[in-house]
Amino acid sequence: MVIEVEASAKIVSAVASVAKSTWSWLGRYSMRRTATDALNELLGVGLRTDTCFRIGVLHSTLERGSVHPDDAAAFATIAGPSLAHAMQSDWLLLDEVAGDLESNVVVIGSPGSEGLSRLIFGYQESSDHRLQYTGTTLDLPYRWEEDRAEVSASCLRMQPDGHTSRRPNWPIVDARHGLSLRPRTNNEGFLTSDYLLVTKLPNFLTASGNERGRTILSVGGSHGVATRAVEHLFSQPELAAELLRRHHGAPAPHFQALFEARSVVHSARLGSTARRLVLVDYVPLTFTDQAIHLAHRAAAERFTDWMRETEGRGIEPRRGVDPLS
Amino acid sequence: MGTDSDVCASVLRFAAQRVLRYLETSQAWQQLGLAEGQFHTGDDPIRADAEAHQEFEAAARSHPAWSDLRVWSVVGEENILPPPETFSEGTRVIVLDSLDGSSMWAMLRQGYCVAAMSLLADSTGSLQLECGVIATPVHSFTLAGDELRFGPSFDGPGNDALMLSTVPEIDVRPRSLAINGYKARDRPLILEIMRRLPDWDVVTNAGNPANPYVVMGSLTATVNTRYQCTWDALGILACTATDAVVGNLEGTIVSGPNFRHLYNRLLLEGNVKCIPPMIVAKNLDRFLEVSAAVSEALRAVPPPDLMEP
Repeated sequence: MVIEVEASAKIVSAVASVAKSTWSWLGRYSMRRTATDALNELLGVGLRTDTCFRIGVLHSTLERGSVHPDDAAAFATIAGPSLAHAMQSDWLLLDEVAGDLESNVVVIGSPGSEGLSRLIFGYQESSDHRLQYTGTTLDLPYRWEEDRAEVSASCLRMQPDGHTSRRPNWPIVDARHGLSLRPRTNNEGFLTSDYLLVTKLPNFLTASGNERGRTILSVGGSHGVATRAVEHLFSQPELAAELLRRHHGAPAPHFQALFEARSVVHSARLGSTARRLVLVDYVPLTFTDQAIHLAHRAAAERFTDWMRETEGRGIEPRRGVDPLS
Repeated sequence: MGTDSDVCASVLRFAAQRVLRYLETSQAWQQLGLAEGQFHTGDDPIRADAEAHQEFEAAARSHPAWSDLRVWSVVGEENILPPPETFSEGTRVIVLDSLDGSSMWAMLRQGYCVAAMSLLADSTGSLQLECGVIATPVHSFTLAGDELRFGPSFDGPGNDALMLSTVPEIDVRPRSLAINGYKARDRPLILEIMRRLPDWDVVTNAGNPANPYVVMGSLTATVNTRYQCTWDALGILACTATDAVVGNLEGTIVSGPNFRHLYNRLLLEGNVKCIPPMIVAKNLDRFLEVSAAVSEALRAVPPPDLMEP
């Protein structure tokens, strides 16, 4: 089994130690092992799969290359068992890892923070740093809205370091019905809910990845609150059971699942966190060979430009960036 | 959606970017026991060239579109392979000069580039030039079909600009000539050329890193005094996609299709120098002026061996 994590060794090491404790704290053993296995199979992760994990390092409020604690927590949830297993056997920590796009790929974070998501879902950064949806890859029922020019509302949340931040209140776009699903706020402007999008697609990034049946799993919220809340999928047996029930009998292993993270509490010690997750919609996905081919072609054409946008010539700190700009 | 040639050019650009970054901090420095990043000019360009070829190929293979390109091999000075008798239609051969201007790189870390081109097999199995990229540490020039584009080397091809005509001469700047392949033994010839162009600035640093600037920059003309390999003359071919004037030393203008025909006679075995000495100039007047100066200079000094490296 090979787990590749595209993040610095320091980040992985820190997250891995969290994962070990998180794994038990989440109560995954409280779920029946068969349910956990079924959930892992649904998501395409587990101990028997070679997976490339990517954690968002492009968050606009952080220095480029830094991982937001919410994304780190989500990674620990998804990769926790695999990491814990690896740490007990063939654990290799390197300063630099080149991800394999031909394997199973797990991306943690929305396109706003996670670079490969932009290539996968069709987002492009303009010269004035607006992240615009281009729709050049696969047509999906739901997507994130990341263009600040399209969002006038803002929201407040507490960050894990204790400070309060104001952010655009990014919605989830329901493309089938032309709706924008906006996280709710209280009278003071603090988030009371958030939306989480979990998407599983065929890995169309490379021809061989698709031919070998590899998949892409994306876990990303409108805000980090929902991204972190994916942990409830593994600690709320009834939620996992509902997701599995909705998936049962689906014609293909690919899907989009929209969750709402509710009962958000705000703590100076933990930041803003949701106490529970609710499944809002589950949409099975099927794609024609032509659609996969066109998506692959679009991603391949964009790749060199995308590398320039997301990598640059080195780590570029983004100091003094107005989070609402 | 772009063409297959655009995708291929994008792969070449991506790999060239990786090589440029590698060349900035060449591992050849380690030969002298220095820490990475310490400046030293005594590095081995031959080793750097060979390692840059490997770097290019590794980067190209990591591109999502690589398997779609059906590349037979990445060949060049650092990887000479005997070709098969024929290729199946759609097969590509990438011809690479991973460190074009290795002497300049070794001396100054200036005046070098990565030059790569794709040859595509047609229905008869014959290779035709499909696209090419010249990537300097500052600008990249991409020739795809009959279009020449340029942009910052480390930017993406999506932001490149189309080049149709040369930047006109500027009255406040003197005319300038870049001479390619200058060696110490060429000094008498070069001095004779300079004597016949008294008002011109002259630099002895040309080739692929310089030729596109006849179109894009204020460089008036370039001259190559020796036969070249096709990958060394990719910049000349790129200029024929614009209204730049390209011709031989005797003053005969060579059109774009005719020059491209020379490429399609490319032999993959060995370093075959099949491109004759050429002049590239912004306009006809300057082309004829340089041609006259070079022709007279060649009559004034012992003739050089045009095939001598």
